[in-house]
Amino acid sequence: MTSVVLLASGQPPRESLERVIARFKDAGAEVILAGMTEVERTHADLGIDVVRSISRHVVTDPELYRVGRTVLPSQRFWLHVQRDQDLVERCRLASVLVALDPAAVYSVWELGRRFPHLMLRQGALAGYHALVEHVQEQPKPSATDKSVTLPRRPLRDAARALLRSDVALSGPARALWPVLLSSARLSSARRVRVGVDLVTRLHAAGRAQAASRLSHALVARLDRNRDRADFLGEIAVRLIDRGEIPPALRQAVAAELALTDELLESGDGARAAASLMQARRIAFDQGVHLSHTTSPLADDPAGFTEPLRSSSAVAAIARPQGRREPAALLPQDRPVRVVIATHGNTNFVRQLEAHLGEDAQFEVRSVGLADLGRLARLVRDPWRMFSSLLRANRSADRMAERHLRELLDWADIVFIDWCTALVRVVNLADPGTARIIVRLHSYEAFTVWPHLLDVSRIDDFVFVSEHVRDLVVAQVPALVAPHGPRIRVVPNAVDLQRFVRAKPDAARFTIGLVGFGVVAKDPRWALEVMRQVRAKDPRYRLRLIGQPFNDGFSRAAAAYGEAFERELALLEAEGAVDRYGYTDDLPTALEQVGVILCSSVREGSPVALLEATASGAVPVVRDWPLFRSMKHGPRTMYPADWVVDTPDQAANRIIGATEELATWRRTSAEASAVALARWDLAVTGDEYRALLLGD
Amino acid sequence: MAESSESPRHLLFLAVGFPPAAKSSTFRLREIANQFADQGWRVTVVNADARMWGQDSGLDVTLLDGLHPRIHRVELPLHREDFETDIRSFSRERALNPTVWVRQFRRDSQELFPEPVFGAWRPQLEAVVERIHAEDPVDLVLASCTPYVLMAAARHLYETSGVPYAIDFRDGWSIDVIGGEVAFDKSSPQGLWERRVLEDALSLWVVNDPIAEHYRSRYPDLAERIHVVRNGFDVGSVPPLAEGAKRPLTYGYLGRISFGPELTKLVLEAWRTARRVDPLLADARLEVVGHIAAGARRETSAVAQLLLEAADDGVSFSGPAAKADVSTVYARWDVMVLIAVGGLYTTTGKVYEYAAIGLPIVSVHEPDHDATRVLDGYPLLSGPPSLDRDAIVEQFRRAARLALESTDVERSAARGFASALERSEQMTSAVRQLATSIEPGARS
Repeated sequence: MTSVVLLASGQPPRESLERVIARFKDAGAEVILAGMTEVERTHADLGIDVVRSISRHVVTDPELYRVGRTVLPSQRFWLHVQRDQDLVERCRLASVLVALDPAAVYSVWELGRRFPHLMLRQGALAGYHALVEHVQEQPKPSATDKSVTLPRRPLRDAARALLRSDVALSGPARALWPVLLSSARLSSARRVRVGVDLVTRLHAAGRAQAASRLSHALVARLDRNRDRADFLGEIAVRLIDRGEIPPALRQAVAAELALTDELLESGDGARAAASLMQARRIAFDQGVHLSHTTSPLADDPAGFTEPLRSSSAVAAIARPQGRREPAALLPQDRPVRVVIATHGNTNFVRQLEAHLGEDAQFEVRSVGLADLGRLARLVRDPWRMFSSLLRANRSADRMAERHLRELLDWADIVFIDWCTALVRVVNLADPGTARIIVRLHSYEAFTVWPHLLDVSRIDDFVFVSEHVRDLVVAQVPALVAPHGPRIRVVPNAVDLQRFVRAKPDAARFTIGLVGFGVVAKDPRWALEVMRQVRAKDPRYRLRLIGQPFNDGFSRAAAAYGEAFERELALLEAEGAVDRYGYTDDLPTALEQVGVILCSSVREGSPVALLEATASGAVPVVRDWPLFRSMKHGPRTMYPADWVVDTPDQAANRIIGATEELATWRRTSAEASAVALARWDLAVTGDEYRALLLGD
Repeated sequence: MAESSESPRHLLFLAVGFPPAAKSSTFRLREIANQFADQGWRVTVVNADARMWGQDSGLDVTLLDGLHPRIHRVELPLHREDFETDIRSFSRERALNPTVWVRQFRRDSQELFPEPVFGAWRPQLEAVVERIHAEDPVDLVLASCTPYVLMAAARHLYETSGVPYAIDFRDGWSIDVIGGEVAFDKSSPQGLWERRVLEDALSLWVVNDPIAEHYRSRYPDLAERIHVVRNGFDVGSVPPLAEGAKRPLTYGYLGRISFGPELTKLVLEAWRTARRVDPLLADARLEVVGHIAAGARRETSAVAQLLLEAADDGVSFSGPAAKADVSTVYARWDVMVLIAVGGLYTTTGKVYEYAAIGLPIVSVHEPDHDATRVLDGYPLLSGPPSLDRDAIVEQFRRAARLALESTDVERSAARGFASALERSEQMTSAVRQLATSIEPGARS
């Protein structure tokens, strides 16, 4: 059968394409649509024979990730297409190849060079006319013709089949692979490709130790930084894609950063920046640190991030530029001008803004990415900033100067909430006389940004809790080095008074979980607590407040989400669950809640816990496992009786605090009083006021 | 017909877009050639070949029907590189970044004549007019622009052989008829070319009074040679007078689709609203027929996509119709929808045909548009032309009532309004005047 392959680098049209597809079909052609967008979801109903979302079938290997940033969109698309062997094979067997948009033309052009028989066209209708031309030129098939396509490369296909067989993973074969892959006849790219395939397949077969041994042996035989980075990096990416934490993740990061430094030393700043992006991608992948209940970074913050501290490229990015003059004393003759800047998430500054806004001593301006013009591109695509910094061409600095100068000249204080790329972008410009304050919550401790800051341009670094400070300082000792920023710990500023409402007696049997949509909240731990509580007293029910579980982060998160829903369904069948959902009116949702459970593996300064506690729910706080190795944590933040280690302890505290109405009322009132006295806006707001005014 | 006993004079008609090209100017070009032939002239038409039109606006071989036998067509392998769709012919640079390549090509193509894309055709055009004149001496060259590079060929024959020429500017070069602004300065390369060509032209034709006024004020010394030669409708495109309409009503647009996504969205929004609020339109259909986009984007452009997405609202887009089928298409419609870009300086050829059909007309364009003047007094207008959504909704609604309630007498009166707009009527005088300005045997 004659086939036509349509390639789209962007979102292809639907209805207009459907008309042309109907013409292809009328002409007897098989139609294949392959695109970079989710065409398998959006175009499957258009009568196309094969719809292929290329990104679903191509692993973004280290080289693709690095190079893809430094080339034209058309070349980026080709990097994907050529990695999709099944698609390339379909193109080889086709008659007409069509580029549906300009950025797809280059891939069609390249495929045309490989397969000279193909007719190549830009535009769907032009492709149809080419098909008609092709059909007219073809001799009519005879009755004995069979439409069977024979493989044209039998030897290559046989070798691939052998490699993919279980024989390749057998004990004797594993011993041979390091030797075979050392052969001088193999290109380094092939050596890496076969090695990655073997190691990941061993992992998939549950032979982690064998995989580790083979990986170790092969790394020893790879001479170049690039090959080691490609090999370890791609294994890491594939394992993360499978929902696993790669055992050699730190080594993969180190290998990539060695390549980064090599590229920087050779004067190729743009590619060094792309390599740094790749290092960042694997070191801080959400699928590793935010999708499991453990994290290699939390287990050993200094050790895991050591390659970053050893990297000359990271040092070049974080190189202190200093400031021309120190932050000025605050004015006495006018309100203090405060810029509150965020990269988008304003959840934790709204109340602070309102609080300062009511104080005549302050004049507040809120700034988001939309206010930064083209500078926002550096926040959204940090490669541009890294590339400029590593090439030392100062283009990023000039851009920051252009877009920030007015703001920095106006402000007495710039308060940047969240330690993200925005902080580094603000660092690009000399602060003038403005004082720069950065606040880090919790998740940023699992990102690259604390490592890349120019701390000489930050006056105050605020953590929302001491344990988060411990975790970040362990990774970035430069933060506490002499002449570094002042380090502060101030919890989030929250108005807790509005949560104080009367609770009915029956509320004591309702256990609340506020915000359970991510693995960090570990809602399965809460379900275990529920099971234990209900084993003792089936009157207890769980109220789930917040968005449903988000399993789109990673494969690991999806697996967690599935298990959570499965367990939840069993409790739901017993009538033990109330899915309250997301609400704008949390005080009302909490009126019926007698106990608030914090089951998280990681928190910074959890707001919902305090809100619920202020409302009169008895707090039961898990000793967050990701910070258990730190000096500080919930046990140093909260009264000792709030904190538990295990579901069993949690269940006991719940039963003990709620079994008797009077006990619950008393415990509830005491906890609420503690929360209000320590964390209400009346207190924390003053702490922020003092921070800003330098009291 | 005004045959002459003299040896027939020879018109070299530079008409890129002549049949079988399915271009909006095709009908005008065909009429001009036919009228010269009717006046006893032999006509040689220079056009681009079928391959180019296949990539550009398409082909309609039915347009060749009715060509006068004294018309001889010369088709050149003129190529629009920017519309090329065969990727095998692309350089690596073009394949890597087609958009940038086309931008550069448009710049480079102006090296020989200051017109993007077409400027590069100058050597081929000059060579062919020289050859034609050498083989069969030419008495008059008439260049119908666009493209404007045709003027260079006319000028070339004038300078090398003294052959007189006239220019059919249609929309004009130094006026941007869509934006209504002057397109270039007199001292620009285009300005110098335009002045040089026009000052020796026997005649300059344009399609409407505002454009003529622009040229008369720009070149006062040439004012007498500037003539308005309007377009018109073709009798063959007009179906027999229909009986009164019945529900479900069918609204229709036929013509080259040169309006963009924004205007398309406006029309579709108004259409949806009208269908929602007016029971008479609840089951109405809107048919859009015509060529859309060229090159790689042909029939898959954003406008095509918008029209096709509106299928649930009774909207259909069926691509182009052959000229021979146009009257059949009109015959199934109850209301004409005129959608036009531009303003004061724009007429659109379709307005004449729309008026001739004798159906209610919905006018979606600037009020200050030359089409407004053409339709001034037309009995079945559904309202003043507008680009306001609510006003268009009202027009759709009023047109439904007009379609259902108008009498045979009213529809006949509407047709009567257009009788003076027939294409040959519009052109006869200008063609005769130009034809007679060349004395028989005047060529050396």
